[in-house]
Amino acid sequence: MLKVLYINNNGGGFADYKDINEGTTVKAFFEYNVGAGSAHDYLIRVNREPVVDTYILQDGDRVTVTPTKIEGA
Amino acid sequence: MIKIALKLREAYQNKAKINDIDFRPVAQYLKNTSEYFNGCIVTYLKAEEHDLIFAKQIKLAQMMRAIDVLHCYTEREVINHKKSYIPDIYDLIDELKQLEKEFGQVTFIDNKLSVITEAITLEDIPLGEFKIVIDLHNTDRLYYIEAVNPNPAHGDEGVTHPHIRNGHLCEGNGTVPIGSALKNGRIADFFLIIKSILETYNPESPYISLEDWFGIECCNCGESTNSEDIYICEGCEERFCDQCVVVCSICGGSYCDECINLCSICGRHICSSCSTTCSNCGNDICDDCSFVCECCGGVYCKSCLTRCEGCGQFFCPGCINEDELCEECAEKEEENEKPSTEV
Repeated sequence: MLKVLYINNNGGGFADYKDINEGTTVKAFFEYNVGAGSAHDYLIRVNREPVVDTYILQDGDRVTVTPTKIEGA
Repeated sequence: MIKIALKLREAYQNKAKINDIDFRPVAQYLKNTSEYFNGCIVTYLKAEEHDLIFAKQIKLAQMMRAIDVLHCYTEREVINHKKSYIPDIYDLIDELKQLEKEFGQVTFIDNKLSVITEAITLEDIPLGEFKIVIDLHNTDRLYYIEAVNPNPAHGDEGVTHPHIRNGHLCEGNGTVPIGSALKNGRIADFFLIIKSILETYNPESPYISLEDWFGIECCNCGESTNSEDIYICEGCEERFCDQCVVVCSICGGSYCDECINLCSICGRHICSSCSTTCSNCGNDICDDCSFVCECCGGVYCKSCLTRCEGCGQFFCPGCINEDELCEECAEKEEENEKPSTEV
């Protein structure tokens, strides 16, 4: 099992380490943790860089997910 | 980049110092409350010894309050006294590098870190670029937002975006992630979250809605005016300017021409709630100009009532005869006119 730091800047926020299987792509990780079909509504960065959705996550990677639409008041 | 990172780290360090509290007054407060509590126990035990039920109850209530106070105060102080996070200098440099990639340029002048967004258009209304500024030396307002080429809402130049007034962003759903990002030194995330808020229109609670961005049109004359000078008709709920709105003389409510009436007697403007209809002529009349027929109780305007020649009271056409006598007076007159049957 690998460990990645997952930061989700949505709603109440989330920042913690997640265990993943080797060979997990960013796409699979996102779909598991956020939901399928909504990747275009988020900025996804791995180690502060944009990556392709087929990028395979490595041990210690930092994954940040930020919604592109957040409602102000 | 290193210089900016150092300044940022210094700002976090300064904030950490502000957050550190002096526990001495806290300890003294707890000591005083504990001594009070112990005093209550001693008195309680004496009351119990002498079987003083009322005194025991009082002391018990006082002890419970003291426990609540100790608990709340201690809990609050423990929560407030959290060790502040100071980000690592290398993390801050990485944050700034990411920021530069995301926004193209990062500016640091007079201890203010800023980026400029791309031009933002919401619902076909161009609002232009926005400069997001973190002011490291301002403890009251850590960040603010400036429109680079403002296209403010009609009537309020401070509203350059539906969710910004006078540089202040109403964070809405971004409040928690913004706080979390700043607290944990995720500077790039902070700016990206702000950008997401700027690029989203929430029609439920803007300072000024995009629908009214160029002013609110009066339903009557079509003139655009700002929201503070618009009145909503209490009848039809449409919007009217101050030139086209009419105020009810009785209740003071605001109405348009279609929803207000004129009293046919005094000519004052009256709304439907403050007006009544003459049961004879059907004209609108205000309460001051309406009268009640003494016989049938119907409501009439003064013009439709006739004064009885006998009693002097007012009656409607249905309750007064051709001789202008009410039923009662007419009967009396008939009685008087009857020839005497006395022999």
